[in-house]
Amino acid sequence: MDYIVDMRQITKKFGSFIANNSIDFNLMSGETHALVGENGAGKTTLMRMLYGQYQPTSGEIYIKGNKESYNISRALSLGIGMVHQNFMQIPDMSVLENIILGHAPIKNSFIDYKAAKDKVQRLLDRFNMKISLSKPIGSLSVGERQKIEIIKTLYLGANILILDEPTAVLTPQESDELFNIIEELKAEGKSVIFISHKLKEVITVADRITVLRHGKVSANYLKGEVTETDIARAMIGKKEVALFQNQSRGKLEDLVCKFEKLRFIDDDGVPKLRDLSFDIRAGEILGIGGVEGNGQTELLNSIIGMNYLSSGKIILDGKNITNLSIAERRKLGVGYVSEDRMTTGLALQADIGDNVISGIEDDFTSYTFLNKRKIDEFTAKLIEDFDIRGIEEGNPVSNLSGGNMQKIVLAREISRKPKLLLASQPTRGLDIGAINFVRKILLEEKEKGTAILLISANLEELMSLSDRMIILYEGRIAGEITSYDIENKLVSEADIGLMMGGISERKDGENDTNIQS
Amino acid sequence: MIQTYKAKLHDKNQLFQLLGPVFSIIIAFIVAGLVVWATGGDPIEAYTVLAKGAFGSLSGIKNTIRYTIPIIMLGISFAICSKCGYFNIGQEGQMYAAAIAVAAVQRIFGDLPMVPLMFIMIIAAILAGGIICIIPAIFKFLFNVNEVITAMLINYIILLFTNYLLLYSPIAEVGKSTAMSIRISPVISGSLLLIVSIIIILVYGLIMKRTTPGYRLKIVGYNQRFAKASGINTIRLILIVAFLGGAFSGISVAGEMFGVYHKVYNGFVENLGFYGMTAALIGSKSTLGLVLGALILGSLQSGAVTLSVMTDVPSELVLVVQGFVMLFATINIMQYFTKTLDKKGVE
Amino acid sequence: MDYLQLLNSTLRLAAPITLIAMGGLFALKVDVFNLGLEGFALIGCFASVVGAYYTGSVIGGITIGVLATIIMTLIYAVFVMELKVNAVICAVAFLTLSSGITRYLMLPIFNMSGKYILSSDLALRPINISWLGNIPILGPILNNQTILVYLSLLLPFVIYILLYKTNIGLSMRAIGQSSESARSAGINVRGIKYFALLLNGLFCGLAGAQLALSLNMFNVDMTAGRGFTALAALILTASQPILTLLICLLFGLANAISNYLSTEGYPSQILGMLPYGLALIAAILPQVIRTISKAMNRAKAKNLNTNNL
Repeated sequence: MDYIVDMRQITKKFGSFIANNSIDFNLMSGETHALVGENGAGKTTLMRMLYGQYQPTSGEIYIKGNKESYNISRALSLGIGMVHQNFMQIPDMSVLENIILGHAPIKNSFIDYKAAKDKVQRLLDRFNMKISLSKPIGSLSVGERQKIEIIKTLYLGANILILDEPTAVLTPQESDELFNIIEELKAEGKSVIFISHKLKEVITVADRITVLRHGKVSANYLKGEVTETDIARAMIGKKEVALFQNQSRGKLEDLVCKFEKLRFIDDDGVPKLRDLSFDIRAGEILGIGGVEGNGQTELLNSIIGMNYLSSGKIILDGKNITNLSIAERRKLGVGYVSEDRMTTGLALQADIGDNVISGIEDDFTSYTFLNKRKIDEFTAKLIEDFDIRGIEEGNPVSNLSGGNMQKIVLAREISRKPKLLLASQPTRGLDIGAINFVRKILLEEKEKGTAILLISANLEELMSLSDRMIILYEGRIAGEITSYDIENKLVSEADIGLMMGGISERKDGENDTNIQS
Repeated sequence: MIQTYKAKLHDKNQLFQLLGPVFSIIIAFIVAGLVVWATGGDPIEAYTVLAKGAFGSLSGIKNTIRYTIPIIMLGISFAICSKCGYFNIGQEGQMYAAAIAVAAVQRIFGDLPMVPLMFIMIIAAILAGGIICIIPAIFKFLFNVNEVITAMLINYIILLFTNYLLLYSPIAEVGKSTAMSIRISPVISGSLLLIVSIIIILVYGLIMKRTTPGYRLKIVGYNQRFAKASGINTIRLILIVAFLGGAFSGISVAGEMFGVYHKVYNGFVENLGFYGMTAALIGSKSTLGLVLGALILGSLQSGAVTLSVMTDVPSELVLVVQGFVMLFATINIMQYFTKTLDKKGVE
Repeated sequence: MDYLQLLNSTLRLAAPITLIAMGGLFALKVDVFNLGLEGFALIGCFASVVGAYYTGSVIGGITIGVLATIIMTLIYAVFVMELKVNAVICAVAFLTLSSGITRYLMLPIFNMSGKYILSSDLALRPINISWLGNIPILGPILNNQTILVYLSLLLPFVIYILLYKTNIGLSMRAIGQSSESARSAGINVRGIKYFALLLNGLFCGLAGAQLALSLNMFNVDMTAGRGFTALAALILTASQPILTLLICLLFGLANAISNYLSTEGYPSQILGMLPYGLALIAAILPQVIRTISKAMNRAKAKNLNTNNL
């Protein structure tokens, strides 16, 4: 079999941690090969070795039949290109500069911008992309930026394209566009590897599927011979884990928090929240959906108090908290599980005790001295209640796994009995066991009567956990999905996809592109 | 309280933390010794003379202690500021400002009896040092301007201003060309200062480890964003700490003036400028380290005079050693000896 | 007062600051915040005097000065990039080390401490270009400068072309903003960073040579804060080479004015504060303006109608 890429018995260790364990992975010319697995399974690590960013600890890589060991520069000359999950772009530089970076055509030792522009424009025209080359790339939409990432690889002459979670930041419609582009690339004879954990796409698009689990190859499938359930089982092992679902939607309790005409303008004068109004009730999980960057972060930050609103009101339990400090809001019952546990949720160098009392340290104080015994008791109880593993006395929490770190964050926030719990991307980067634990905790809190504002990029998660949902687009509500709709499956993912893209369809069937809040 | 300190001394972890800095100091001495040797001097002789000068006689030991104390104060000042992410490089400027303030008090209130006079002088020193120290902090944390640049430029400005005052202003003594003297009895204030300094050192260690304000400072130092999200008023905390840092610089100068110099003159804080920072670097993981570091630097200063007298090695060797100590102290040597779980690259 | 003479002095006094700034610019462009420019320039001063002393020639002095500074800067680079030490502390360490070592070495080398004056035939002399001197107004200003001063005036333009019109300049700018993105484009990030720091050392060395050799002496701590003044200029102009040149000329002017006024009897110390004060304003101003304009942006948008958002 003539493989264009043949990775044999690849092992990669980081210290004592084995990220990839004797993996065989290959790619045939002209095929689309999907690499699937949970967070932490080793997919990106493997592909980074193919791209030359890492070197394998052991094993061999053959490109077009020749054994190679190489760095990124050589990989590029071998025709391998990678589109990373986090775009490798310089936001302030123009689109053209980003594409030709490091490989600009030269005339008389100076960059030949004209030749560069011609070459890139030809590529853009071939794929029918209408993107201005001179604008700073940071001003483009996420979908456009990703297209440029692909153009970048083609400009450098790639035949083998690696796409890492390409649809993570796209609406369903944009994802379809992407797959059309992949088809066109295949027609030109290029070969594509794409990493994904969205099983529906993988089934539809891939010619072959390789499943990784805990750093090892768990299964190989051909197109058409496998179902989503099979793949899921291969991803997480024999035991199929049933994810917790919201079973009691739609009970109307008391109003906990009213958000009136929230307006937030960022430092550049761009409105991020455009007079957003909604409310949330006790015991309700309100899901906030939408493509990242449409105001979710600003919404969360203004509710907890990290940013102050330009105008609008937040009324918690009858009290106007709009201009209160973070400490005061927390005292009144706002809890906050931030989307980035490592930069905002925890102090990584501190131990678990320091992390969980942060904000309420005065409760453990007598005559300005900290009562260590009280802190230890409190911490021990949390470790038990939340099943936090891996704790060693006095050690910084950075040594813990993602799941345990997230448990600490949840433990801290929930132990303060919040009335309104803000949770942003709470299951991001966690393995299946930890994901389920988080879902269980959130549903338990709901039963206790806590109002939960859940922001997530994972549509399945939102639909499973939310009582009702709001979709944000450019700082406004693009659509609302009631608990009735969810329970009776009246709204499809495609409908939500349209809302995420800014087009909302009214119940009477009319397309409404004029979004009002 | 003595119990906890005894326990800390026996704490293996603490001693382990000291290994890194001690290693750096030893390397610094060796490299400096190489410089001496390369320029025709005898490093062994030089170091021996230094040690004898610093510890070999009673007056030498007194001298060493007298140099060590302000360095400890400056070290604490630098340490608490750097815990908040504020590099307090402006200590030289703070010290000069405090010195001017003290001399001005002498001028204005010189007729008061000694004790209240001393009191007012200390307050003035604290205020002057604190204000100068808080300025770069304000610009850093409210306007995001790098504090090293602002502090260094302020240093130069204050230095020039002090020179000007010494030559022209009414604060200067008529007839004494470069001095402003103050009327404080050295013996009483000197020993008072020693006691006060020891108390401050002990209290500092205690506060950082065991009290709530120390906890808050620690958390802000680890992760400012996290601290803010928890509800801690980070800006207020940082500015208070910055003021305190300057206050410590002021106190150290007041101590120098009371106990030793009785006057301000050009360059009298010359070398102390970065000594505090060096001591804080050595003591970055333990307060004991800070004291030891200050002791080493203090002994260097105290032995320096004898160096140029007894050998042909210039007394500037002390500066060279200090520079190397600072340089090597920046490397965290121990990181190469402890196992760390490297989870780089896991998605 | 001879205005032309004043402006002539301005170019001369601005030159070391400009050269240091150009060096610092390269470091900043690759995201290394080199605060130790002051120390490196001081090494340049000292080494160029030592070099001239031993080789008996000006060229020798300049060469040794540049070499020594490059070596020091590369050592700094290794500390910061390989040993991953805190760049700010390391810079301050190099500062004290430079000051200490230069003071120390004066005795063994020159048998003098504090100040050493080279023989005047080893001084870096101004060049008299007759046709240049005959141009009205500009002539006397531009003429009679040392070669390094002329370099300081031309260099920013060369650097501008390098940064914005060549491949390596593009790579440097990319590294400065996102070294990860640069790396994934196949750029040799480490190599280019070292190259940038080498240039940093080169220009700081030339600055030191200009400062010390044109006065044919070495005085302890003679750089007197020029390193920080240069940094302030870079901050004000966001490391734009040509604007930085203009700001450095402004600082040179402040120096020249204060020198002149002090010969007229005004207190030199107060005048001496002027350049530093200016630099302080330069460092602070852009940020203050930015903060105010952000607040104004926000206030303006606050009053918009809902439908206009």
